Amino acid sequence: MALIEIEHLSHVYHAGEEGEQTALDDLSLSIERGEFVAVLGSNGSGKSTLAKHLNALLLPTSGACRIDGIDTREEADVWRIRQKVGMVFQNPDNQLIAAVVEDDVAFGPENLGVPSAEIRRRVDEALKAVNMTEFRSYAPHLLSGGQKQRIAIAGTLAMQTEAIVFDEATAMLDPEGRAEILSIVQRLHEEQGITVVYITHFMEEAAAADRILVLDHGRLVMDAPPREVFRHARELRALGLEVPLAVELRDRLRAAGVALPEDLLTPAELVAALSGKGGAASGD
Amino acid sequence: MAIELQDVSFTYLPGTPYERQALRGINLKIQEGSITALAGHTGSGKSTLLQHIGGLLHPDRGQVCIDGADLAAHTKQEKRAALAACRKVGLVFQYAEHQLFEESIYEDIAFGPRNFGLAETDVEARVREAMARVHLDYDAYRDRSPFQLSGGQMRRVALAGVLALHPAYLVLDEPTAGLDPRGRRELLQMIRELHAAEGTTIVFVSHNMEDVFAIADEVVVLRQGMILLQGAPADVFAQGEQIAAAGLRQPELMRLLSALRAAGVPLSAEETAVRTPAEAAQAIVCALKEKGGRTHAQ
Repeated sequence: MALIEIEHLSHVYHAGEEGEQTALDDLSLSIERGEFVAVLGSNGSGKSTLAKHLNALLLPTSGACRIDGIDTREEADVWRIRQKVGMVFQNPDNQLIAAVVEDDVAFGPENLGVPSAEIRRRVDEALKAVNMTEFRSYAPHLLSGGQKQRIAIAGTLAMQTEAIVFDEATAMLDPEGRAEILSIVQRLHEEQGITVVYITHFMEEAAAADRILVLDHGRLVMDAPPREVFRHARELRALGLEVPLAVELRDRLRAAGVALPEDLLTPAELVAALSGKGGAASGD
Repeated sequence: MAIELQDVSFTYLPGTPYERQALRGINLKIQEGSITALAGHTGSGKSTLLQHIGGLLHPDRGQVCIDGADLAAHTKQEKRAALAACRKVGLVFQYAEHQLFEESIYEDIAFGPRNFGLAETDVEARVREAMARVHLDYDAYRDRSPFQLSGGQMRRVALAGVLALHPAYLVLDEPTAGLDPRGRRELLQMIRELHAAEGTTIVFVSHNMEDVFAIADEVVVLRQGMILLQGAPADVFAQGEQIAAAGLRQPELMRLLSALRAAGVPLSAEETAVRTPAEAAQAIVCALKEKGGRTHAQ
């Protein structure tokens, strides 16, 4: 059984009222345990609506969303679902609540009635996993945006969630903060096998995932590994998206007759291809 | 005519345990007609600086002058001059769409000009013009609720509300944060068009170095409340170590081209500082031909 199963899920805001809006339209997909899935789509494509279904913050208008087999509409199970799927939102200032970092991380397990020795252990581990141990007694509002997001991640780790959903968690961060969050996400995924659903507007970040879902008007229009998705530059641009810079250069160079693999993805691959075999460069 | 900051220092919450000096002796002249980017790590002082230019904060020490008028005025006469100077500055906040409040797009954009005391016919002309500037069709959108637009469109309405005041200086805090790639490209394009058509001086804060590289002709890099680097983007970003010391990263295109150069692709230093992928591709093709030619000649 997949960790996340979505079947014919539709979500309509203001159903039957003026301003009715279909945000998700008959969406079906599943995400296995341990996957790192990026979600792309223009503003208004339904990405955030999808994210909120994954821990029962929103419920389907029709269709179903199941987390580890539990239907999100089972009201009695909502806390079981939220122990399985954690969320990190866009604005770091909207999700920290306590006056001290370690209290903030402890908030989730405390609410679940976890014994205090166990909470202590989880908080220590969670802070260590996001490299924030030395900030344990700081006030969250004195931290940088990237550090606040790391605390938010630690909060979900302390809940021992199997999956973390990142809803544009790097959108408000500076470049250093962005890089630091992405590297922590990659490490949690690789070392702890955390399932990651990563919503972003940054194509370079999406390229780090195992699989990319592309949404458009609430529908799933692409579902493939980054190498495959980023072969379709024209289609992506038509959806208001972009391709990573290395991919754009790849396509321009190929059009100018430079021999490059058509699924080349990263800057490192581009450098290797162009410098390693300089002779393979020109077609003539 | 220009925005001039002389020896500007500012401290938040002085005399409390949270006291923090945000600006330390800033001297900066922003030339009329330029597009100037203020870049820096979180906490470097860039937003504080922006709020000084907008007249929202006054320095503890030093002066902020717009076209020669000191914004921190004391006498009645100075205050009048300061108010007139402040009105030349249009300030667009971060996530400006959160400040929309009216029932229709027309009313939201008309709010500022009406507050300035313009007659209704002039207000209408300003709204039309501002909507055209942000590529929103007047007849199709004027009566629509701003809250039914996409995030990118809402931000454009907020921008139009400021443009309707005809600012000589347009000051923007993180104008593209949170927008999707198309929204980002369109917004930068609008800023560029406005600059070309009206000669509006643009000052913007960004931690997206791609945006800075794409439209700025002057970059000011701040670090710990002081100016670390200042100059043309290509020159400033070429100083990789200093950029890293400021907690920033070089634009991705420059990093990629520098990596190619380091790996032996014969690109010149100037070629690693080109601003668009199209120029970069052309430079790479030329460099590869040169390299290929050399290899054959040997």
